[in-house]
Amino acid sequence: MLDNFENDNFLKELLNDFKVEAIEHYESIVKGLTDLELVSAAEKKQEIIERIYRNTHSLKGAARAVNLNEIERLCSCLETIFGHLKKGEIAVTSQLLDSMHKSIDVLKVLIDNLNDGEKNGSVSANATIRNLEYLLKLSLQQFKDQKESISTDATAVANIIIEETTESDVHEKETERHDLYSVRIPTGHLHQILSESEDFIAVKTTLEYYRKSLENIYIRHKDDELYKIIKDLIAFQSVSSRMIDDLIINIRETLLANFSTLFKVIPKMIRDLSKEYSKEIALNIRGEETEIDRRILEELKDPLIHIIRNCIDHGIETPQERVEIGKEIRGKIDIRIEKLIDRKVRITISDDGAGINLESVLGSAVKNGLLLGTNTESLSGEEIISLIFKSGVSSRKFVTDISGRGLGMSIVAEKISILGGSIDVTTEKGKGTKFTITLPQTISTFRGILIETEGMPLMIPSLYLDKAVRVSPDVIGNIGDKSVIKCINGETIGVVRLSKVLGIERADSVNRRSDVIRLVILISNNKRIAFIVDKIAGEYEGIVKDMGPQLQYVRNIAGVTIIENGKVIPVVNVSEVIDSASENPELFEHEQSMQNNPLTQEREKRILIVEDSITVRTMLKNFVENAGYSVTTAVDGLDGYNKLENEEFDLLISDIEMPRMNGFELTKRVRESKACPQIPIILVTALETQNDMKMGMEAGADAYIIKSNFEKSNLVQTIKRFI
Amino acid sequence: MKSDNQILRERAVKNAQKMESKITSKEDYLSFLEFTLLSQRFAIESSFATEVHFLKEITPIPGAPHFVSGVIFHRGKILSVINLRSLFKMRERGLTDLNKFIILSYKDLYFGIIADSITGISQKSISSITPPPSTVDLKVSTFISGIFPDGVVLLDAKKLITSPEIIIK
Repeated sequence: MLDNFENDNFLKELLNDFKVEAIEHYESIVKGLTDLELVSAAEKKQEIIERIYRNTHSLKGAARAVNLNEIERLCSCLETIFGHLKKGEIAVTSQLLDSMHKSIDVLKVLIDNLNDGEKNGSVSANATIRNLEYLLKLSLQQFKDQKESISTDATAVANIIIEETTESDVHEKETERHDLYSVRIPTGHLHQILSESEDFIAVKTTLEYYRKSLENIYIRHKDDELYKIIKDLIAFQSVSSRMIDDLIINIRETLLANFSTLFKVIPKMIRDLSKEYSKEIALNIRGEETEIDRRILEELKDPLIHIIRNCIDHGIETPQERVEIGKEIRGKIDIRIEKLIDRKVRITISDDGAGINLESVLGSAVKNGLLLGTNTESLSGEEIISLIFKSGVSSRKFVTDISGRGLGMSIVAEKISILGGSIDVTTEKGKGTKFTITLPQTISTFRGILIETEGMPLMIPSLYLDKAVRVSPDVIGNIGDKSVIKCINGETIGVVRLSKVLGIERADSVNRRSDVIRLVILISNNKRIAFIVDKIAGEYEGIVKDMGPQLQYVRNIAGVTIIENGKVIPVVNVSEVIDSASENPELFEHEQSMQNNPLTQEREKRILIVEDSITVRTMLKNFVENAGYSVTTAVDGLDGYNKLENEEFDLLISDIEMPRMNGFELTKRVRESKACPQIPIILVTALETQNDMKMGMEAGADAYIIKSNFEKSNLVQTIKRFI
Repeated sequence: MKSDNQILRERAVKNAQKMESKITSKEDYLSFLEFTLLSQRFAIESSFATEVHFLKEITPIPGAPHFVSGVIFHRGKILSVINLRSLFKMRERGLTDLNKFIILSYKDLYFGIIADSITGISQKSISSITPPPSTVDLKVSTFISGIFPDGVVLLDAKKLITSPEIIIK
């Protein structure tokens, strides 16, 4: 692979990257060694040894990839020792640990010396390696002999190592850690910074507003001092605007990274794996310079590695097999990255191996009961291949350590879909397999405000949000029969209830009494409309997901997002909502009627639901709560009656057929009670005869609703008739 | 959930064995997933029914067609859920207990349908179906392959999943 790395700059960059990685491994090893002395439980020890072993192994591989022979050999030696420790063939002694620490210090010096090829503070890796080898030999011998304490020889070895390491070097180099070319920052933090920097856009608009205000004053009161202030403000405004724009652009750019940062681990990995499986592989990567959102890139690492491992383990045949069937000895793995037009990136990974064995996949799927006894013969090749993305399916008869457990591909598919992308596979028997991954170039995160209308929570992307305000109803005026509101800047904009535009309003919602109106003023394509909503519940950040292949397009809805508790919230497509509203001017009518409504205090209405079936009870509860009421439930008439006596409710909803006390009896008792004889009562039931309805009314119920009808918002309308 | 999976798995194994013997006897038996909506029993070819689960919270989508109950977040994926009762204009009366959903999929299309209960997997002869009575709404009948002698209505899964009436673009 290294033959390809002719470019000096690239090698430099690679070395820098290696350095960052090496320091990480170094730190992890140091921590592991320290921990090893602290813990006493054998199990914990084993865990730490395992971790250090892996660290030394990875560092060895990385060093090999960038041709750092000394580090590679030192790590290899450490790896061997930890390999023996792992198997319990030598014991962890403090002397051994000391020597390890010393060797690690040497390693640190070697790593630090990579800086611009400086070779100061020379240490001899060779001596350290020799010492370690000697120590290992002794330890092995010692363990065999079951001796209690380590021999003086070993102590001597430890001392030799001390001499070899120039300790001052280690200390000197410590300070240089800060000068590394890159730092690791959690991407969540970067996004936080991005969103905070985007808030500066508001500073820009505010400055603009103050400038205009001052200029207006100046027109009326010519004043030299004011003129000077305005002039200074204009200068400041132009400087700060440029600063803000640059900041945002720069931060957005930090969030893009090119694929080469990801692919530097791949050649080494392929080399290791091809050795392990005695396969010869030629890797060809194209389009590494393609840029993609850093977060996507980081999430992509595991899926890509998994796919490549699959190619090597399952796809490429052994050299003998390849020669027999007349293929080139070296198997080919091609990775190609392209930027597509609509801000998408396509990654194709193809091999020229044996292809996916469809029969094995099918067999595995059948064995795992995934096909529920389907007529397997009717499945097309494509359908069978898609099975590899299902959990539990593998084309392998035997599970190896890197693949074949059948979990991998399903995780790959899930991860890619979470990133907003898709994955496809095509395979041809004897010719090879091709994985195609399509991803968005940037994670389409958006910040949005959560609002509620008619009990339905919706997300509005902040990008389109001009203002979210609470106003008194008399602020809304009208021009002709259209409701409008005057903005601070004098502009007049239309006012419309969002639920009306979305077609989810209820007949009575216009007349809902409230002393405060919540408006979100949205702007798109220079059109500005104020939408009335019921609640503004705060700001969120999320990713817009589509609604599945069946629901590819819904007018006014851009997709859904998931907020922290796993709740799915539809995201409003603002430009469409604004278009929808402008196309239907009649929607703007009658909002002004609100100013005539008496001002009443908003209090959450409390409703008692009495229902014996848990399913229906929960359903009813959700339904009524979603309509904006506070709900208490009772499991039968008697329970309900007791609750009514002890708490105050505005309305009662009851089932009819219930144990202990049925709905008719409950109604009768409530009407005769002292606590709340006037409470509106709605009976909900599956019974539907005229006689039942008559009985209910005679008992004193106010309304009667047939079950299963309540999803048609009949129930909420009925409730609203009473309270 | 685990036990559900186990049951399904056991069933699948059981059915797979049965099928083999059926195929060798050269009969046209197929495996069907049966479920109920209100009091009506329906069957769907089990190759199209990939998963069966308890229904979690559905988020209604404003402006979606009437037969779409909403969307759910299931295993890291958003999928839409269809209420066949609404699609088939079945009379909305009587107590229903729509708390299960079946994921139907064909190629890269998938969505959920909600059901009152899942009756199980059955082996039925495809040649025993009779066409739906002419009284059935024409729009509804396009999604029905026929009726089995025991009154179970066989849905045409492929048509249902791929119909441009269902897939909203």
